[in-house]
Amino acid sequence: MISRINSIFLMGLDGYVLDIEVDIQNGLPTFNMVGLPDAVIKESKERVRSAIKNSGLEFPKGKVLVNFAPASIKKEGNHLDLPIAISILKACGLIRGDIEKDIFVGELALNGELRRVRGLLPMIIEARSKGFKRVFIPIDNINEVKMIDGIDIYTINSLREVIDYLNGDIQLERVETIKYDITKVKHGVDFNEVKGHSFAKRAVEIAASGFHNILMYGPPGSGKTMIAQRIPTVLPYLTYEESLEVSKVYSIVGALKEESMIFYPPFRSPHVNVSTNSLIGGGTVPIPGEVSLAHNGVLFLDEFTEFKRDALEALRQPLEDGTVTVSRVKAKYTFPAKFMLVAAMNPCPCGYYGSDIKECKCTEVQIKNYLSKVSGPILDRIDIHIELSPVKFEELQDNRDDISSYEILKKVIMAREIQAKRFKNEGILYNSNMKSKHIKKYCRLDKDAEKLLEDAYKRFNMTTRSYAKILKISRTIADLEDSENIKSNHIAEALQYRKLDGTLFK
Amino acid sequence: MSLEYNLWFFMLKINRRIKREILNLNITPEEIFNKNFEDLVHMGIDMITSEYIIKNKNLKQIEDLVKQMDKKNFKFTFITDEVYPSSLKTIEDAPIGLFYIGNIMLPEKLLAIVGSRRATNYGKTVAYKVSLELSKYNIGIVSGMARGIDTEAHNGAIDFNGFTIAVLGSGFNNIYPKENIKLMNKIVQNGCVFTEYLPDIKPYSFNFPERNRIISGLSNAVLVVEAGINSGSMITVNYALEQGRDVYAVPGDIYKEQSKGCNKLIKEGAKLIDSADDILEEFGIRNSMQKYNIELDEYEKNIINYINEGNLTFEQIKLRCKYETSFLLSKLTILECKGIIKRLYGGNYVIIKS
Repeated sequence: MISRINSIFLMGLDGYVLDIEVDIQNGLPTFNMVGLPDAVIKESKERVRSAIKNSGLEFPKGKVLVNFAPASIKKEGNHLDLPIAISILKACGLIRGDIEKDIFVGELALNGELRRVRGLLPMIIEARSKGFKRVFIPIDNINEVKMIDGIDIYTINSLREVIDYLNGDIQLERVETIKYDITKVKHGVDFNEVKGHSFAKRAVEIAASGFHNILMYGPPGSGKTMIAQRIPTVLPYLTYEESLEVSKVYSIVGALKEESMIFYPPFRSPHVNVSTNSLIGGGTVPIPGEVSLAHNGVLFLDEFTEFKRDALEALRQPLEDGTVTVSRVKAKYTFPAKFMLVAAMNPCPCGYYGSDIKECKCTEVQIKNYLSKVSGPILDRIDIHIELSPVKFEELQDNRDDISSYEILKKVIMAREIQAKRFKNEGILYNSNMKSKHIKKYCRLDKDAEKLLEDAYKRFNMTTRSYAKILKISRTIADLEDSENIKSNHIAEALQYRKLDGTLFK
Repeated sequence: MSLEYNLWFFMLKINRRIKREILNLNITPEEIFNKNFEDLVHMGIDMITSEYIIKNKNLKQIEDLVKQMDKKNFKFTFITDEVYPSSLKTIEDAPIGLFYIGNIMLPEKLLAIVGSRRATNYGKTVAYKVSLELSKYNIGIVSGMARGIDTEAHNGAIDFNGFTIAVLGSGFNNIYPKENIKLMNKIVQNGCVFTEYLPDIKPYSFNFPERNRIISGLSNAVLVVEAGINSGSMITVNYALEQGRDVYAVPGDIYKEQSKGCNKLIKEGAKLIDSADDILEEFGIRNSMQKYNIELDEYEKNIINYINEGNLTFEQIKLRCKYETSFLLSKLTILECKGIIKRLYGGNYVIIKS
């Protein structure tokens, strides 16, 4: 008696369909598994045996052999409990229906109930693309799949329930799909709650439009964190495709619980103690790190200089490529990691260098050491540098309406559209991605602008690198005004976002 | 050959006072070198010194030094030379010789600007501004090339292509602080760097008070920008008073350590300086410059008027002038490019040209 059914396992971010074959032969009762299962799958033997018995069915007496194909790839995951059980029952002839085009996913409890699994979303997407018709999943995972159409999804409570359904004894309703709807999303915060700081808000507007990385520095209490937390509110909502990319990552780390999908750009702010592996992804079987959880959103690193140096250096690849690759002997795992880096730091160890509220207690050497924790290559990848100072009393009293997130968002969306049109055939998305050939092609200056940039180049001791940065930022500023050419006022504004290169970091 | 003999005499380990007495006998180092013991004693030099001179007639070391100086472009001026700064000749403990790099033809009027190494933004701005303003009137700025006030004082003059002089507390092979080597290269392009020490001497702490007598001695007056009560700047002030130089001080925050020295000087009668004009007045120069010789539009003039009220952050300027954020940002950059304003750490804008 042989049975063969399908299930799915994950490698990195992608699902792979695998065959589970069960053969039952006469002889002394044994239960064996082959086909490179990991420890979790091997342990499932006992769960499957108990679950079958406790569902009021009989576990076959004889030699039971389970084979996972393809045999050469290592499989892992607790979600194979259910398909193994189904396959065994099918081999015994206890399941009558046709299950060729079905996928089963779930972890079994000893009493036969089903438990929640991680990474369901990418599995279902893979099943759909491979043409499967039905998927059976644990009821606890229902939120994750509500927005997937094109495949029938059934949620089940227990092993008994799915057998009864397959045998035609009971009826199950397929999960109703909800339309992808972003209008219901509400952020808890808004930029109109931030008093003053018009400079910082403008910088955020530019950063969000061109997807530029941004570094904020200033004394404690100057509002760095407050501003950073509101950056997602001015980023456009995710499109369905972008949302899928992000949601897959969240599904794999088991973070999709309440929400069905991630609708708006994620905001991640790992603690300064974060290890390199948890920041960029890792583990024996690699799972995505914070940079991937921030995909299509914001990675906020507060107290930038306090992070471990190697953790910061590891950011170079994702900042450059928008992906992160974790290598293992057997395979390479690539996770998406296209995020906007928002870094915040104090100008010196005590925090008050250059401030007029309190006197700085640090020596020059201390300040130098403090700043040298952030390496040049990382700083080079941050286009916009701004300095914040605490809000003065007169600004608090100012009654004029502060600009709201929605108003900024409208401008950002417009600027993004212009960029999308421009870079349609270039393989890049935003101004911040421009390489030197793009800069040459798209950053045309008018005469005044050229003159101003030349003056500034000499006066501010600029390098070719900061020159390129200024051009990129100017391009975004020009886009915000829907201007084809870069004018002198665009360049002049862009020059305000350059400071830290030239002054604090010597 | 006289350079070698001058260096030989300079390097003799004899008290500077005695060396000056010998030179007052109207005799050159070369003649001393060629005299025997009896001649020296006969001339009135005491026996111990004479014996020491006779025993140390070795020019080998000197030749090496001269080679090194040629290679690295160090120069040496002896107290009897014509180019030796005349103001120094008159002070009580004048250096027997000075090593220098750069242009030794010093301007007629010199002002020393001294102050704390751990200066505040306020102090740094004042030092920079005063130095830049005075450079326009051909006044040379003398300072010690230390961090803080000294650095800003040199920078102000350099930014106007003015003449500035640094006096070091170490030899030319041991520039201190190291990060100011760049600054030194800028100074020597148009100005001069002096030191009394042989090239290999390290920046020992006791060199600096000794060096301070040269800073005050070179100058017509000393301006103290920020100084603690017991700081090196106050040592310079004491030398200045002994040497009969004027002392000026910039008032500061009464709660700040760095201002206590200045405020004390003012209390004791030093002239209070609140703009470069005060110094011009003392130096007998009339302020004849135009306020702005650069074209400004209406917005830019407005912004300058607001910043003139006091140092303001971006947000404060915006509150007052009510321009669009992006417009104001670009105007501020243009003013920075024209060299009228400057943004400091902490985000304050100040006027640097008035």
